[in-house]
Amino acid sequence: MPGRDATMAGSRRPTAGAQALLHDPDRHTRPLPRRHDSALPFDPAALPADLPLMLDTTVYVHRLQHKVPPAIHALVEARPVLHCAVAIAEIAISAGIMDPNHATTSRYRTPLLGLLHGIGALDMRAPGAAVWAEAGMLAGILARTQFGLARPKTALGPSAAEQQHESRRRLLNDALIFLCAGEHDAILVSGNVADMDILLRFRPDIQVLLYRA
Amino acid sequence: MPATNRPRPVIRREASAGTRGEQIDRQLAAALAELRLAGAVTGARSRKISVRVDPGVMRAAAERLGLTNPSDVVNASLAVAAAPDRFKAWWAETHATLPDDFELAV
Repeated sequence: MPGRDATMAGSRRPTAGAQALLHDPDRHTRPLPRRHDSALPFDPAALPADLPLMLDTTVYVHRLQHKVPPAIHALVEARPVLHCAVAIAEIAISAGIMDPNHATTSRYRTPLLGLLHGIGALDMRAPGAAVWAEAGMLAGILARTQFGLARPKTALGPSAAEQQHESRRRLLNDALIFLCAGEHDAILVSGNVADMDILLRFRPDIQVLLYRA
Repeated sequence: MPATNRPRPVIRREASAGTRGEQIDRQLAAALAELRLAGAVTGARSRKISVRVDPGVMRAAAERLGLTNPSDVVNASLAVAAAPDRFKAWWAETHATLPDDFELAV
């Protein structure tokens, strides 16, 4: 991959630009077609035997909704599990944003807090600085080419502009979690099939296991 | 009593190994803290056992833990193996249910 060594020409010092340009935005102008499930990593038996798992945010939510397929459930029981700080933040903000005075808050917040108490801080992993640069570029390319999220604010109403901003943030988080798994030599388990299909086109070296809830 | 047989409740690693060493120290401290909470730590190395181990595995454990004293290696390995894994317990046992209409805030 061009620029993989993340250094400036003529220099051995890594730069943020080189990290970001691991994915050249000029080379990506059209959306990639979605692949059939048979071309995607759905088979737990095909995974390398000795790698830990990292869980996408959807996995925690699906566990709390009792929607995790038995094969995925068993795999999580059997393997060491690392927790991406970005996914933890998505859970934590969801717990924190709920109005304490709302009648249904405890029904939603209590399971989320139970999950957070179950995660040892030492098992959490944060994306490194280089991953942030790479994830930002990747999310930008995907927002423009795959999801039509590059429309100028002036062409959108306030609500649609807000929605576009949120969707870009969601893409950035997806890219951070995906790359964080690769950075820590973990297999990312995710129920987000559509986004992972596209992310894997950019970094097929990252191990992912997909499922449908 | 030979010095190596003195009961030593605390495992002391060689000062070195940088970030990796600090990570192991934290992992070991967390394992001992979990075992203390579970009431499993007595604070003394009072039970003597005689076991045969695979020397390669012993060497690998010593290298990973940054320890040289065989007794320290065995004690640290036992602590890491015995510490309860909170997440695995939560994953296997939680009956909490998040309503289907839950949406992540971001």
